[in-house]
Amino acid sequence: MNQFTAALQDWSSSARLVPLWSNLALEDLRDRYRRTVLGLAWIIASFALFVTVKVFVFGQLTNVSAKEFGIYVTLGFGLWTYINAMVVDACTAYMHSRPWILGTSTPYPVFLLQAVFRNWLIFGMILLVMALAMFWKTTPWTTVSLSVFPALLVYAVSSLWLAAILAPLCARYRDLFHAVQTSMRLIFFATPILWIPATSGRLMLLAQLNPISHFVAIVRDPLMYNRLPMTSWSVVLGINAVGLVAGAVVYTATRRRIAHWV
Amino acid sequence: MHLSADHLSIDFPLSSMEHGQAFKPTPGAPPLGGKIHTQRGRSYVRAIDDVSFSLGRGDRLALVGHNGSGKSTLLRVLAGIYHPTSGSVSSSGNVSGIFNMSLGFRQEASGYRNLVLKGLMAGRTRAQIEAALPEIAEFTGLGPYLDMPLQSYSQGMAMRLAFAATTAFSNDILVMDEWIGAGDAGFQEKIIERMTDFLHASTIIVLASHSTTLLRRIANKAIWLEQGRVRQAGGIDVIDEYEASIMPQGPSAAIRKQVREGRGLWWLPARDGSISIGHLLWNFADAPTDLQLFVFGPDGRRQVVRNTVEQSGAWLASDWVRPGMAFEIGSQRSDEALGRCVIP
Repeated sequence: MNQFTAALQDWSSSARLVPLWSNLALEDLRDRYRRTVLGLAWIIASFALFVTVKVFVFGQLTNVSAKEFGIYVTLGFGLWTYINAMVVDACTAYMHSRPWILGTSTPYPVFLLQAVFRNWLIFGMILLVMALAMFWKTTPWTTVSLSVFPALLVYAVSSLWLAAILAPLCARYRDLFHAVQTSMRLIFFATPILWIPATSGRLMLLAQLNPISHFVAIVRDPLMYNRLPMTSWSVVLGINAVGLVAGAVVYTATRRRIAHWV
Repeated sequence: MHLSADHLSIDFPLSSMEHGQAFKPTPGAPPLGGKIHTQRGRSYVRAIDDVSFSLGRGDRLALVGHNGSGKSTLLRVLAGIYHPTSGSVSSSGNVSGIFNMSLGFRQEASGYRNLVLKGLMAGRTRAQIEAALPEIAEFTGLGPYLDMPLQSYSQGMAMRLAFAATTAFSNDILVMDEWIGAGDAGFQEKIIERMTDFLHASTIIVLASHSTTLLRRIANKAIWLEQGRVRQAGGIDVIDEYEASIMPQGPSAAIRKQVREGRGLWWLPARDGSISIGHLLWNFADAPTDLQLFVFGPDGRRQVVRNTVEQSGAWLASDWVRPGMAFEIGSQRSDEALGRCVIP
């Protein structure tokens, strides 16, 4: 119980260190694009280019209209880009901050928040492109689309507990990081981003068993089809309930040993 | 204000013990590293073993010991980086640490940016940091380099930045690992001045270093660690004992103390089995800094042996030294010697 209080204290003091983790995250991005001409515009440029090529190539293989498929891929791939980057970054959150962890007594959630915030900065720019793509929306706007905002909030919460679980485990078991990276590459094909699931058949089953397709659905469905995907929402909320508990347990159990692992 | 450790122990898990059993130590060699012990089938290194001490306002603790004796680990436990396996650390405030230079800095960011991040890390607001920046910049003496990325700094320059940032943003308790030697002589003086000046005199400092000269100038207490255990604790006499132990051919702790507290030039004959016939020891703490060591040859002429010597020091007699030779120490600006000694 004592450990649990200490863990809570870590999180509450980290939450107050907003300028610290936001600046560290900004610095990460600056490091990545230092001495480039385009700078952060690279994020938008590479995303837009990717989507265009994907629509051009895979659009040939479907029978939906080019407009609809374009939005479908832009939204799906935009969300996937965030999810994929976040899962991989969650693994490296502690390893990446090794110099700080071994050099200062900063509470560890700072590094998790730093990783999440960094990904949101990138996601923010991708969201801009996604918002632009909505210009070609094929259905009329309704209030259902507003459910996107709670959905994005769920993304943020999920990222936090995911980082709290993956960061220490990947620091301890280095194979896990590579396993996660490899499986994310496979899961990409198992997620309905480049293909549209039929109402039955093997692809439909695949989409239903894959938790990430539910995460995608809670944002994409209300925007594209003005539909609130109740099944997907319950799956996502269920995962979050389990994840929050698991995140708290893993964080509490590992916080004393992280300095030995990184 | 206080900083204390109570029966502190820390174990590092060993992932593998390939040799199955610990090596036998070399006879006569000092024991290195922590003791390895096995518990429920897993091996651990006991890096810190039952260490207790208590420091109050203005205390400066020196940690001495061989490589791997637990100095750095102890500092990291005090700074809250490692959590103790058993025992506890208690302090009245934040403990700031300066460790290895590559730790806690961003190589790609500019010196200024690193200072800001250090300040944020110490829990300061943007406004407080901006207010403190000019003074820190002045102290580092880095000038235009502060706008350049850290990777363009030399080791010594990076150390200047680290020291300035940490002392500027540290609240009350400071722990420092072996690194002071990286700076040039001028900056070392600045460091010592800052650590002993009026403003910082009320803080607690824990310092690990192999430079015993430096430790003597800063510390008022010392702990000698060996295999993670406290071998000896007390005043700075402990540093003398430690020095005597690492140089068994050199002067004993008692003689070192006598030299440090006296004034003059002495001859210390070596013990049996030594490669040299002895040492010249001197202490002229109040003398000018341009001291030279002279010898009088058989023809009675005074010749320089060492062009510059410290105000307090020792000289290992070369093999041309014979009984009956006379040595002198004096200032370059005056012919009159401060001390004279004839080899018996």
